Amino acid sequence: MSQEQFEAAVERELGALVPTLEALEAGLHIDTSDFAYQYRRLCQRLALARHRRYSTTLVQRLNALVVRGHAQLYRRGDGDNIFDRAARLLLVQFPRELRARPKPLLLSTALFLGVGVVVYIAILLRPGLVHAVLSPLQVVNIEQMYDPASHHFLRPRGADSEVAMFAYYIRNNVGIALRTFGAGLAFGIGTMYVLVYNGLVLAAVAAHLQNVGSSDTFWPFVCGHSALELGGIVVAGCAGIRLGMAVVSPGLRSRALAMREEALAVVPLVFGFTAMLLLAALVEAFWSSQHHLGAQTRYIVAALLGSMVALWLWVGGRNAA
Amino acid sequence: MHVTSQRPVDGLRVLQTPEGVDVVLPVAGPVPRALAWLLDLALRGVVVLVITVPLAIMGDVGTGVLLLGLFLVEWLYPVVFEVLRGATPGKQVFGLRVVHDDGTPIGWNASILRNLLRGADFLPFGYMVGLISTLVDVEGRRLGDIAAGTVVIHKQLELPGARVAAGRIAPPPHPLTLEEQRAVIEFAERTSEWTPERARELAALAQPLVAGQPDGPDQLAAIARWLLGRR
Repeated sequence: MSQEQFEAAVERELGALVPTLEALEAGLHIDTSDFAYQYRRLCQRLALARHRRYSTTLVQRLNALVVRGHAQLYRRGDGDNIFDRAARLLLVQFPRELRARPKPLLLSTALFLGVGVVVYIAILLRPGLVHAVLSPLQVVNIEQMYDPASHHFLRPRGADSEVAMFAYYIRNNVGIALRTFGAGLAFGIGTMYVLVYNGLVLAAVAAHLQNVGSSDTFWPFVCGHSALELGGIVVAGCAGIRLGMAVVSPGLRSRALAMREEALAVVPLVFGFTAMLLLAALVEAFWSSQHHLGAQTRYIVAALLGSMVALWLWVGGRNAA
Repeated sequence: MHVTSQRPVDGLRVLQTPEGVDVVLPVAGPVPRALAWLLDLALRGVVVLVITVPLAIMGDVGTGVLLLGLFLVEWLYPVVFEVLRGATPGKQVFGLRVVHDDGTPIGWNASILRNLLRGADFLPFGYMVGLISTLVDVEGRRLGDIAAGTVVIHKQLELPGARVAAGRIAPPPHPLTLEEQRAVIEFAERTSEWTPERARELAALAQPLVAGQPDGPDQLAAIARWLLGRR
């Protein structure tokens, strides 16, 4: 068969296939009962055209059509609606994935909270050590922010500034957590550095404020969102460390494959820590600065939130399908 | 001779589809991707400027919405565009598409992954790691692409077939191999792209076919018509 006869035969077949393809790409619901057959016929035409060395424009055209048909035939499933999937992701898949690999989680906790606790106790015992971690300017700043004698603690935050702070916390905290996670690809070293650094700074701030007597302004403020926020950072660190471990010791797989499989596996964790930090920002902006409620109330609420988070992560996904 | 047994010169990703036919995806190198990124950066900057002006005068709520907007623009802009349209506006200008590495359109998981891992590709500054990865990897993928299983390809162009104009038909003086037939047909299809001098220069290379003929390109076109099946 000569090329032009072949092209004429192909044109007849494409007359049926191309409109179907365009309708599918536009998302219309059409009768697709013979789409698969037409697509296979097109693939056979492409293989013939290549084998018989027909001209490049013809082969390219058929190739482009096959790519489009392939994309339609092997589309990833649309699935159920977005709300069910989001709920399943956060309440079932995220805690399960977190518990599936305890070691990176423990390492992340140790690097962030463990280091934090050690530094906290050290600075409580030796107040001067705070200057090994924080610069003098930072020390002055935090003392001013949490000074019990200052005025702004007596005024409740205006509603508009709470919205501003909400957005600020989202951008700040979620952004840091996402970068912590991303840095895991660099053999996990970036993640570990960020965890240790943040742990040091937070612990130093807490200990110093305890030492100078601002604990009554500091602890009631931070307790509300601390479970969510610290938990979120630990989860981000865990995900980053898992990525790093996949690159460092891929087992029997190639490094690229290991990185890819691990990245796919930690996607629930990414959604999880983003959700946790969003909630933390919510609490931090709208709840934590309600000083008129008194310290007792806020400690109780903080304890409640903390146990809910713990319940979420420990029990979530255990009995579900 | 199989397509897959050749080492392609162009950046081509050859997929073996379940139907048994090989499909070729033209992958994009670092230059169009870098230019697309710069364009996206400019677009994002414009969006930020546009939303800053009215929000700046709305006090603290305005500030809050602005910061939220900055966050969304920074992290969600590429994801939303890639999943809904296949490429960010910057990439669309340069004719690029982001797809899974089996050719299917990109989904939420993969798009979120590859964009979050920009943090790793950006190290130590200016996407150095990403650039090196793009140059080293056969398919031009940065670390985010490798981890998410995606590839950035040039949009497949369906060029209209260049028809060989009607004219004199002459059979070749002796049987030609498949490769030679294809070369002659492609020459005839592409003659319009060259100057007449260049066409003559190229036709002179096919000596056994054009020997003794006054107009080389015309003779090759005549042979091409015969090979295409016109009688």
